[in-house]
Amino acid sequence: MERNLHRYIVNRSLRPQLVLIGISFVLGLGLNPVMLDLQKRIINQAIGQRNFDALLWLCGAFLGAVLLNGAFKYVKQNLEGYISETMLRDLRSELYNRILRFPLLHMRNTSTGQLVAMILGEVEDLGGYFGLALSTPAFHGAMLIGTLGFMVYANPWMAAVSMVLFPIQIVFIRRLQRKVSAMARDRVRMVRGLSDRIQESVGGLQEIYANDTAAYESGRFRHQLQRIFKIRLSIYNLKYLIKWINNFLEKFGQFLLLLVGGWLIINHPDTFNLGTLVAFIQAYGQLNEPWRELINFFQLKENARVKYEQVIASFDPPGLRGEFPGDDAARDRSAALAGAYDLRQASVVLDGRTHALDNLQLTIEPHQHVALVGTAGSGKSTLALVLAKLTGFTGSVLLDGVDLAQLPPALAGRAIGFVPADARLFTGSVLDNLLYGLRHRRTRELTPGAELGLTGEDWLDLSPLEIENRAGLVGAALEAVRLVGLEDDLFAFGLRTRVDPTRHPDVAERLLGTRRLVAERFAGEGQETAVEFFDRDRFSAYASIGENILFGHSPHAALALEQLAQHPHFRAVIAEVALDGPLVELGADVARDMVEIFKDIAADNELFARFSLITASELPEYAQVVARIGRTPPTELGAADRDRLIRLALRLIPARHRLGRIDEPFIAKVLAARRQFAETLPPDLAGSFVPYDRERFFTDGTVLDNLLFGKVVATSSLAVKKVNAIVEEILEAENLRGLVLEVGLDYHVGLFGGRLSLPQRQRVALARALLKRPNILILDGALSALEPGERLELHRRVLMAMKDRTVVAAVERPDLARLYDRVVVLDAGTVAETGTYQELIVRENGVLRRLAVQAGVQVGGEG
Amino acid sequence: MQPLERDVETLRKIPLFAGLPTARLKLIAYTAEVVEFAPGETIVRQGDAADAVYIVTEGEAEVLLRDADGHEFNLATMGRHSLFGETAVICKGRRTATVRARDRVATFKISADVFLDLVRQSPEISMQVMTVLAQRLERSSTLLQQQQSHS
Repeated sequence: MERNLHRYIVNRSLRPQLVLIGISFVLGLGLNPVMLDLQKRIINQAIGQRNFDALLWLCGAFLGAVLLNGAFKYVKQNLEGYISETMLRDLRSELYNRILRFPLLHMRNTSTGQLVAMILGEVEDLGGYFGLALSTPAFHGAMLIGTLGFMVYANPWMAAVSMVLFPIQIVFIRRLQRKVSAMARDRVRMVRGLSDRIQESVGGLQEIYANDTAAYESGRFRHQLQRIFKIRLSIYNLKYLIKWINNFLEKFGQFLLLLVGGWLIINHPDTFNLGTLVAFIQAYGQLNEPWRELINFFQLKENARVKYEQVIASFDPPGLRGEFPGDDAARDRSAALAGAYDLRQASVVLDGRTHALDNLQLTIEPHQHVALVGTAGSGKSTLALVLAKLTGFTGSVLLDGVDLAQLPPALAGRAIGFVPADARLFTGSVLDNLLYGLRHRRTRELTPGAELGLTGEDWLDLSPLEIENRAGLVGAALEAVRLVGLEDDLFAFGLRTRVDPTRHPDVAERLLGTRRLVAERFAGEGQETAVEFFDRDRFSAYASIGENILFGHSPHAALALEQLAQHPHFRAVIAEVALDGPLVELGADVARDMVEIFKDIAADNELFARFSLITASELPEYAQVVARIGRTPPTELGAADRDRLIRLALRLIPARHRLGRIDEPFIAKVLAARRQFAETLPPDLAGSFVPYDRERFFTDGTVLDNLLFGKVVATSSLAVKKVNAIVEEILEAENLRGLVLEVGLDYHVGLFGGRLSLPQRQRVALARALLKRPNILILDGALSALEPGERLELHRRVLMAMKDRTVVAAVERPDLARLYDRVVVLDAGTVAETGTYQELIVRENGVLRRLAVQAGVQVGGEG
Repeated sequence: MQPLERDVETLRKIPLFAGLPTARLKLIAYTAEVVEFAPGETIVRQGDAADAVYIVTEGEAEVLLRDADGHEFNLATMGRHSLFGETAVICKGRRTATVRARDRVATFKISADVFLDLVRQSPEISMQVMTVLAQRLERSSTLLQQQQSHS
């Protein structure tokens, strides 16, 4: 990216900028003097000689010039806006792309907040400047020259008089302006120092109290404020001094013109006339406007330049990864990577001091399964990063005889699977996350997306999977899920996921058929209490208040539970049965508890996604409502607040959340509202709203809701177990298990995968890596959250699946290394010993043996 | 009193949580599930994966250990306000004993990640947990010593 702002502007927008300059010249050098000249002629020729025809013609010409002038200006301003907006868009996209190329180590000491502020905030000001960068000096410069030209043409002597003051202004004002700029820079620097102080005080409050230095800190802060205050005051003084000088010189110029012009008219009427004097005064006034604008522009330009340079510097860290090409349909993945590594003198230095890897020598044979063992700080994780080409290194690392540093990142990202312990998932469904490893480039001609029931899928390259249809895709995904031991979880997700009948038309049909079987089973075994079947006359503590009132479903978005609170029919109904007040009160109770419980929980904490009735982004909004409830009774709050509280109350599931007071009168009103809602349906809903009906599938319910036609009595362990057992048995018998699993792939994992537990996230991350069919798989504590026995089993399965392909795993427990062909023990960034597990574990004074004993692993030998 | 407030009061009676601020207790109570077990029902089974910690709020449960020969013997009885299942959750291991409801038992079920999060973020709780675990270790050692001296 260009380091110089103006080179950047010229390179990115030369053509529209040239058009702008052209328009500016037409306006400043063409239309502007023409209009001045017309004014002069109107006074001298038409009015002076009392020629009415000429007056009409000239005035008509003047009006035409004004209109033309306006039209050109309109085009100019729009073009400026267009340039600003396109360049702002491109700059933001370019900066974001740079983040996507940051070396991983750089991210550790970069604050996300700063990057966000720069891309969204600071760049915004630059956007405005892009459109003006060339057109403003061109336009006002041309205006200046055009007006001066007219003056010279009308009377060179008078023109000289008008310009007498210019050099003085230039010298004076530029000097003062520079002073202002220097002070402004100081001010920015000092304000930044101020923010550091605040940050430090907040962080070190404990020390301040412990040392009784509050007064000292306050004084220090005040002192800094005082210095800023002085600078700001000086800036004011200078700014207004400049303004005063400008104004004075402007008036002084008029004074000179009137004096000299008047003298000329009185004494030399043949060389100068009244019309010219009027046009001159007019022209002189017009000189000042572009002049002022140019001075302002000079300031704007300086600001923009400094800002641009600062932003660019933050986005140009050393070791920036190579550019990624945009669209590319080519399948440039290499099927032939054997995965043989050869490391010589490989070193990685962190923070300029610590040697994470220290002249490491290591050879990994093709298709070998290698375990890296070592304590924390031994360098095993860093080595895993090097092998995955995710961190810079010195020395030589060859992959299949090719320098790893020269290997295109695109190839590494496709051929190498990498799974760390804290692998991130992204917001979306389980399937979206599983397929994430297959989205490298846009592949329009390969697009199988639409037929596969996936949306926006021209970013998906399914060629490594060798599948042709949706069944194949689901099969491949489920195979990966099974391999990582996620199948039971996925089944549970499936039961809790809503089915979209437009996407799975057969699912609705088949589930409905099973509903009767389920009901019969429960009736037969006399276990009605395990399930609260939907019943028009009963309140369900296991359904939300919203579901309880609506007691039905509709494809209408306006009747979705989140929107329900705003629906006029709903509002009318709850007002009629006097449920609105109680709902607001209930919402207030819930809001109070939610704000109290979650106010100190970080927004990305998974507790939010899993448990909270309000999202992290809604929290501040509700905190304010709660603060207002402290002063005003909830029912007397403004309409917007009451809406919020009702919306919250509708989300409450009494038995699960155990918040608020749900008493008999409240329940009676809910049931009354339910009846009223269905009986007084307005015509626009009559066709689409369907009350719960044993014979019909309902789209707003989960698979389980639909199967049961009711809710599980979730507080009874026996009920849950029985329901699960019966449902699973029937689904199995009806051959529907696969269908539920498929629905489970649509389960939404939440922000950063927050709705999944850590073990579930680790399993999904592993499945994601396997699904892209890597030539080389690199694990770094990938399954650390799993229970040891299961971890061992999964490693075994992964190695089986990766037979004849290279696997390198930094393992967190020495006994996992048992499964690998070869063990490399690292210590302090070098290889301490290497061999098979059996060799090393019996070696007297061996490092692996020591580590194993420390971890409580049976080592045999002397014991 | 709303149900959650009652639950907070119950949690306060458990030594492990006694010193916690109310907001924290509310978080635990809120994220905990209320689960009831029928008489004779197994709450956790020895050897199963550990996904939660339980607090008995009503009823009594017995802790059973199965030795290598498959004989079950009663190790302890868990009454109101006792907490169990934390060992396996902390070690990410399997359940070390079976717990079975003696009569109708009501529990708070705190999911493993919430509990671990709590231990990580609250030094008081970590300390309490360590104390409980250390006491248990001591008891087991004493038991072992006694057995060895008997044999």
